Amino acid sequence: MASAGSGDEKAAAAAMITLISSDNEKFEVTEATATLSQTIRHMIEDGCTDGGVPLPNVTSKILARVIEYCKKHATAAAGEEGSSSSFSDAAFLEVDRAFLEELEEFDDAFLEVDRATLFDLILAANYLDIKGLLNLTCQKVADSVKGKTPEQIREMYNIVNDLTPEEEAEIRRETQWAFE
Amino acid sequence: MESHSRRRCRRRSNVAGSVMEEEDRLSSLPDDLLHSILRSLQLKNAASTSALSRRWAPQWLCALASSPAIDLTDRDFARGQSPSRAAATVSRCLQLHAEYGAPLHAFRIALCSGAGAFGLDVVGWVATRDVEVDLAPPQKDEGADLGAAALMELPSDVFRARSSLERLSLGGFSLASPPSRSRRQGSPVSARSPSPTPTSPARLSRPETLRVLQLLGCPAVRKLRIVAPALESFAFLGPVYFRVTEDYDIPVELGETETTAIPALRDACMCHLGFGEYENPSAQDYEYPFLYYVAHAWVLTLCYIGLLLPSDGGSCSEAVLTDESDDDDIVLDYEVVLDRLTLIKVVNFRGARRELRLLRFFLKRAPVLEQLVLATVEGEGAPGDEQLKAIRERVSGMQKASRDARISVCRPNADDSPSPNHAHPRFFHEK
Repeated sequence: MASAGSGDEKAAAAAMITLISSDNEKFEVTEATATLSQTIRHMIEDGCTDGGVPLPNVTSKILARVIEYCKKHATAAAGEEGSSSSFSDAAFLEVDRAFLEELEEFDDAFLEVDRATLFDLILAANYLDIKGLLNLTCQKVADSVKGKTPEQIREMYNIVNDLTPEEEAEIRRETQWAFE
Repeated sequence: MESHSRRRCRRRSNVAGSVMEEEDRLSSLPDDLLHSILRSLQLKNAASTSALSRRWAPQWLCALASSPAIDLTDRDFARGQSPSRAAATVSRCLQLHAEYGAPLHAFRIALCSGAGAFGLDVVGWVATRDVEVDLAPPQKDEGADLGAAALMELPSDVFRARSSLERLSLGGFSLASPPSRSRRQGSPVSARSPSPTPTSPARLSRPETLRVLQLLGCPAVRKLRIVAPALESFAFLGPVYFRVTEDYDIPVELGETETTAIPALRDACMCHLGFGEYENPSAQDYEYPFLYYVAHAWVLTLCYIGLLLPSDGGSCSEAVLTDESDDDDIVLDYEVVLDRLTLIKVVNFRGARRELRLLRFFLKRAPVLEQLVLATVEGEGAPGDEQLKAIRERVSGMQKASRDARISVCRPNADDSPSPNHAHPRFFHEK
């Protein structure tokens, strides 16, 4: 954990990046926060972040949420590293668990959004390549359809059934084991 | 297809943030995101989404096929349909996977059907896969009989197909002797043998890249020759016994006897080694045939050494440490030196005479041994603290070729040795 590069990381943490949403709102974030996004990390590595990073696929409303997520998770990561040197192993584990619990609570609260926002977050996480956020949001959708029948899922997500009755019957016959 | 692209267009216009409540945002997600959602569902649940709409119909299988780990071990998949339909789905999935060109790290499937129902299909799957095939038996219910779950006969020349198979794990299979046609085109060894007797062993031949082989609960594998020069890891979890009256053959052979090209194993794991009657210990030494094959392994894991005695009614109550005097040493036809063996781990250790006898054999011949771990058996028959102490003393008192060997005797859960725990103790308790 306490790597030789911690000095560099501190320097990087101080560097600020400007993110620009599709509706032209500017967000100042630390590089540590921004680089949770692999997309932005690559941009930084390529040195093309001067004058801000335009994100034409993400609205200010969603970008604000995404940044909230990244800040929290970047802090958690930094906090873990900082604590490792000043605590004994047992205390460190204790702190570690507290961090994880806090993070989990944060994630749960973070997912308390309407469905449209959830999908916007999924697409933003996908575009920005933020693995943790993408897994989190996709899992939320998966949880919502868990154990549901096709009819229930259709209703929940306004899915139009464009299969003919014959086609649907055929699918159910072919995959019969899944419908029992 | 048409409806699909129309949806995609609508999705693009949406990303900017205008949200219409009635829209089907879920179906509008790009395929790879749908797939990650489907992959976090249970297989059965994911498969049932095929009835949602035209867009969804093929997605669950695509999601599975685009993953590096294809897992079809769902109980309902195995039981809720005919073997031919299940086989067709598996084949389709593997075909899709090949089209996607993604790496395949694991392919697991549970089959639950009468013998032979999948035979040829499995041959095809194994022959075309290039990494790991884990044809595990179905998940057992508590106390269910593993042997009865699924016993499928695989033609043993299944591995003749050129493949880059590296890891193979088979469960609940039997292996048939090669059919005569393959003998004609087979290796010179077989061709030379004038009259192949019915006892000629089944062979796993030519898996030249095979590094890891696990045979798990394959009770019908009685004679098998494995010619896999690159083999590094070998695990045989199942009853390795044979009756004295029947024959003196070794149930599983590694390498060609004629060329003695025995693979240089890194780790070996065996269960139920050395069964048989125990009246005359020195007459039983052929029951440790594996000793030749594992002689150069670094790590050796053993589970249930010579404890079950099927020939006298399955009694496993062999005297535990009652006898202070040692039995005769194990004598092999050729002397071996376990010259690389650094770790021996014995799982389900009871401290029986036969176990101690084998340990004595190992300790005398392993000059670089670093650690001997004896994890005792769980539940019924578990030695008490006194007994544990006695075992430790007994083993510590044995003559050792290695000065530095550490010996630990522990309860099954207290075992933290670095060896991969191949032999799951519970598995054999349930038998």
